[in-house]
Amino acid sequence: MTPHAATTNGSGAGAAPLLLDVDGISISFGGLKAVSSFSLKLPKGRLAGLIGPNGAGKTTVFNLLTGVYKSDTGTIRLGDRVLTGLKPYQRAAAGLARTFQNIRLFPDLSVLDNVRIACHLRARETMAGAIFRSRYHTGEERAMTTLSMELLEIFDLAHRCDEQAKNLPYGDQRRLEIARALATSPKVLLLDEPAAGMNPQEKRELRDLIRSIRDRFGLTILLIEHDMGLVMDICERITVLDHGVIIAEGTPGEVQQNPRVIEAYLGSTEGGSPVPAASANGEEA
Amino acid sequence: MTDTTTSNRLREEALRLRPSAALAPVRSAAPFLACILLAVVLQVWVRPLMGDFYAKLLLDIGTNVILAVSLTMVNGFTGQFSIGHAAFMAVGAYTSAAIVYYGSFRLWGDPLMHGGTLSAMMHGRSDPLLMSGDLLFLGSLVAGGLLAAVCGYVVGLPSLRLKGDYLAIVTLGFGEIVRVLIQSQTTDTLYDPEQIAQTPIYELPRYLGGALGFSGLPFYSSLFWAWLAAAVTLVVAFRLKYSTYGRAFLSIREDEIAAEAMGIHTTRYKVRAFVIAAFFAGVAGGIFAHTVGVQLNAQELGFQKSFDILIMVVLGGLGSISGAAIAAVILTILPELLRQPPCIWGWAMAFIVPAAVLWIALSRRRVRTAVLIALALGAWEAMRWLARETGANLADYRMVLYALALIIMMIVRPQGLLGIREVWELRRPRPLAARGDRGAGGEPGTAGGRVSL
Repeated sequence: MTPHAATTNGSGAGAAPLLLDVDGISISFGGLKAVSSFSLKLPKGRLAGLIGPNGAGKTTVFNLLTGVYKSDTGTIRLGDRVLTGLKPYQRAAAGLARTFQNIRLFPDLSVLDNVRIACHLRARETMAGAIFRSRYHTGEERAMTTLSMELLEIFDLAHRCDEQAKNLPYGDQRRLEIARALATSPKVLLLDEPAAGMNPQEKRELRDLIRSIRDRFGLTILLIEHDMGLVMDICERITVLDHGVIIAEGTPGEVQQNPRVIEAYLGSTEGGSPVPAASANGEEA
Repeated sequence: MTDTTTSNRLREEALRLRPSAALAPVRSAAPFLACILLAVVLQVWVRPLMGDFYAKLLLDIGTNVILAVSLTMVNGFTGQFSIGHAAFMAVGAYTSAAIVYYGSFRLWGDPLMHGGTLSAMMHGRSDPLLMSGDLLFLGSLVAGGLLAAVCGYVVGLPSLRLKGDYLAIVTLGFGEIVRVLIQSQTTDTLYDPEQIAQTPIYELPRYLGGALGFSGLPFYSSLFWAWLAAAVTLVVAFRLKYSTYGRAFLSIREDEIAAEAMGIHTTRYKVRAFVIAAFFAGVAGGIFAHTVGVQLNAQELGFQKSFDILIMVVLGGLGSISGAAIAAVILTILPELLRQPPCIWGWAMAFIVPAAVLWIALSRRRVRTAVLIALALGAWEAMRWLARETGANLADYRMVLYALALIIMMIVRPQGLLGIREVWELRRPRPLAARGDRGAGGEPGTAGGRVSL
């Protein structure tokens, strides 16, 4: 059923345990098959990429993984937990966090509150405790603030913690979204075009940042990105999607050489050169 | 720090950072004790100083503060648009009224006041502060609130999955259902002690006066009860807003999809906010039912009343508790003021101008606000002059003027008086900044939150 099941598992750091196991998920909108039997296996600690031309169904895959859409077929497993059929908040609780392609912060709230809201998932205090200001409640509030500030520190946003999220510059908003996602203490982080709209300098910083949070928090990361330079640089494995179907899967080098990928991006069968970073670069701002 | 499980770290940190046990009960209870103190002071010392009219006005303000602040939790915090708040008030009012009325008959054989000084609204008495009747009243308020909360849960659970207009329609419909249900009951009220004693308790709630209204209720509502409830509502609202639950509420209003993705069970929190709001609306209803000069009638608790409450919330600023409270005060006084518009210059000098100056200094909207306030004062005087010249009775036009004031408000300041902020946050360009936990470190120069036109 899953043609790519075997190929995904091999590379990388030997026998890292399988964390995210997506098996043949599909969804159709009316007659349009947006994603058909998409499979993906991510061992713990993997930094993988998901690429494809515009409209290939990348974000739809994210929405299927996080439960925004319900998949018609297939199963999604995170560790030994089956996520299929769970609601988005339940999947977040299971350890799946995401960012959004079109930034979805809490615009009127402060930067700090944006992150603290994400901490709520792990909070244990009850509502009564909040109303009566129990000792644990006060401690937990302080702990949330401390942890959130630590995260903001990592993303170099600590000095702007009191600002309204909507007043941040674009790049900061993107990074705040990642910080907020991390505050849910995820196992798997899904980044939807984290570098969109960033300048080259910011992109370089983002690249280092993604690597460092992966190591620091022991994350498994799947990212959608149009900037081929970034993807080829940091991703260990890349899955290529076109018209909702996986057309290639492998290391960056393999994917770049794959004729079907080149065809999907350039629309022609001839020309053996690898996907030029420049051609894919400016496509979507 | 290679620890990935923030959940465990959160718990450890929380245990490490929690305050010492010594003062914990005090910290927890102090605001509630302050509520009681405030209410007692109002009733025992302030009430004798003011006339009956002003006391009644103050009582109404208290009731409206409860209603506006409780609705803020739904419409302001979670961003859901409920316009059936008066229905919960009606549920609470009739529950409380039935308990007090028939309870009084069962206990004392008459429906008269059996309260102490704290519930004496109109006549100063030297009774003990509290008597058994007060306990009955208190119990009835809580019962009314709880039943309203149950209704809130039953209505909220299915309907809060709807969004926007649909939810508004459902809540509006619920309000009408409650009103019609009450009005279609028998119009009989029992008043024969013998008969009441013989009627089984479960049958008594059928006799609520129906379309004629529930008359003969004892007037327990006093400044003490109204303001005790109002203060408790405020404390609960503030404590919720500045807690992780309040942030969860606000996140739903800000972006529901993102809130879900961050692990917030949005339907559950919407229902919770709805239930809490319904509880306080029920309590307010109980107080309303036992207010001097009120003949409890479901007709008065229809959608008109719901809109009145909604207007307070919108005027105050969606999400601002203090804004809702201030709007409740203003909108309760305004219709009374318009009955006979007083010359405002003395007041302007004594109160409005300093307040305006303070406001401008705090919010840094210097020229515009000053102009607006000057225009408002001018308009007020022009109105008075017009009324004097033409001999028109402004009381007849007060609802028009009231509506006009709201329309102007919508144009000039669509986000409400305070927007999402509280009064003391006006100066800061951002809402909900880390309060108390840390010193604010941000630079103050950035002009955030200039959402006004």
